[in-house]
Amino acid sequence: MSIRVDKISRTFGDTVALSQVSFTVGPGITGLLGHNGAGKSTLLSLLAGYSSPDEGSVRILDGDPRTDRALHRRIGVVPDGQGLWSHLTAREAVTALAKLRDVPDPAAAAAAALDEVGLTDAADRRLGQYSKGMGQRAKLAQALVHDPDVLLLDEPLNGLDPAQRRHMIDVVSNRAANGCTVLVSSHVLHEVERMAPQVVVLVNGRVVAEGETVGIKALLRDRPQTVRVTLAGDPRPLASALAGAVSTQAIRVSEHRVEVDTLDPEALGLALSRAAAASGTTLRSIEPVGDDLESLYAYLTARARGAAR
Amino acid sequence: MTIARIVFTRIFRAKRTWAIALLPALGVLTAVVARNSGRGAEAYGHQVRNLVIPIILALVALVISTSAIGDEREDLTILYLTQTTVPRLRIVVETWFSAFMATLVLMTPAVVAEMALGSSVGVGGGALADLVFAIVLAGAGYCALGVLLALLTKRAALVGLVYVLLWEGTLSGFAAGARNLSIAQHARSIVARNVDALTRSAIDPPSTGAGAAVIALLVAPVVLLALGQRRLQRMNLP
Repeated sequence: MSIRVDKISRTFGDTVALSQVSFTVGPGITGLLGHNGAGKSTLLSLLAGYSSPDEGSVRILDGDPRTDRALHRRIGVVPDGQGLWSHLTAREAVTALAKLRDVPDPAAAAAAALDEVGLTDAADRRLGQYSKGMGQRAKLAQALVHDPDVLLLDEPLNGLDPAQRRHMIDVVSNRAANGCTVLVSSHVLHEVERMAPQVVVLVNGRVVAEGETVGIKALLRDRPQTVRVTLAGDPRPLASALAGAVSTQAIRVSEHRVEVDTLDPEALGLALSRAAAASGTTLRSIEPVGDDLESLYAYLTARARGAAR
Repeated sequence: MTIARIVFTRIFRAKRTWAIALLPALGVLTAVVARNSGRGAEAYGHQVRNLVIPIILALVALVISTSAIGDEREDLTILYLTQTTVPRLRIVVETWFSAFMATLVLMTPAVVAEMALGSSVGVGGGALADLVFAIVLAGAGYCALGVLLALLTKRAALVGLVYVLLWEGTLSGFAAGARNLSIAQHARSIVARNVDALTRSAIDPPSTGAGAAVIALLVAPVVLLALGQRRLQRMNLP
């Protein structure tokens, strides 16, 4: 395995950023999925050797990225948010980093990497004048310039428009197809889904799920969802009309409001309009409750806890 | 020298650098005033003792060196430097070297003005060479201190100012122990070694000899940069 994380923990003051995290990653693309603050960046910074875990060990290509300098010849990192030196041109910055990583012909390697990310035309402009998307591509170029065996990408698609995203995904996918191990973090499931066949899900500093992305997605789809219906008058006629529908799992009624739990939101939508017509109720709004990443993660966490018991 | 080149060009693109360059300009101005004051070699001694070394050199070197590594920490470009095969010591030494070179560049007008003042009031060539030597050695020391401070704290420039004003300015005036750890005091020893008695009393060097001062100023950067390397190795980024 190219990346081996064994029971690592990291705290910042009273905050536990990572707790007993273990997983392994082999060649190909693996997604590191988690909400903001889940510990993704902390984990990637430990993998890149920027910091040390309080406990546990990190191994990349069987070396310690914190102490083994030569190992960085084989690791490429795109850190989150941090740009390169704004007073240099992209070519200067990428060439300098190629030199500092012992690449035999730094200028040629830099030109090739900048070409790979589509920055050849802008290579001699100062990075300070770059747009967010171009800066992100320059960061990717410096991570590719020494032809690494392992790529660690922290939210690489942030700030990119759809065309740039597609291009970035293509570049990374090509590298993976040629045997590179890629770990890419994101807080957006469908982003990870598009490029990573494998995924590790991190919630509040713990790994709550890992495996094939399709499997994890199915897991998320099958969870019960709650729909909140707000209406004009008495909610009880609507509630009783809905009670018989197959898509309904549970119903809670409050003033001007009905909350329905369902496994099949589409069928519930049909049932709702029928029930509204039958009961003569005017619906004001229909909205999913907790249909966001936080609640998906909360669901996975609860599931993971259940499995542990 | 890839890292040194990046840091050096960055120093001269920062507005802060041009603001701090006003200090050496002030040195030029006061040298001209002192030359016209008619106080002779004594004026040269006072200039060197009270302004050029403890204020102008100290502040220029500390501001430049703390921001050299402080800016890398601030915008996290230091992450890219650590993500290379380069040993941490080289990152620290090259950053120090570029701050040191920038300091010497910025100090040049003030030093030239001081030398012109000195030669006009009869200070010998040997003593003027000592001034240059002292500025170079003390500049190296202040820059190494600045690099270490910037690796230890985000308020490095403030801590450096406290060192210059309280430690060197006040404490080392009456505490002999503090004097040994004062870069400015050692520099004064070197400047005073080839001047006449009157100029010497104006410079008021510490009793420790110039030889010891040279050794102290040569050892200081080595120790400070070794501590800096240790710190960079252990610190958790960002």
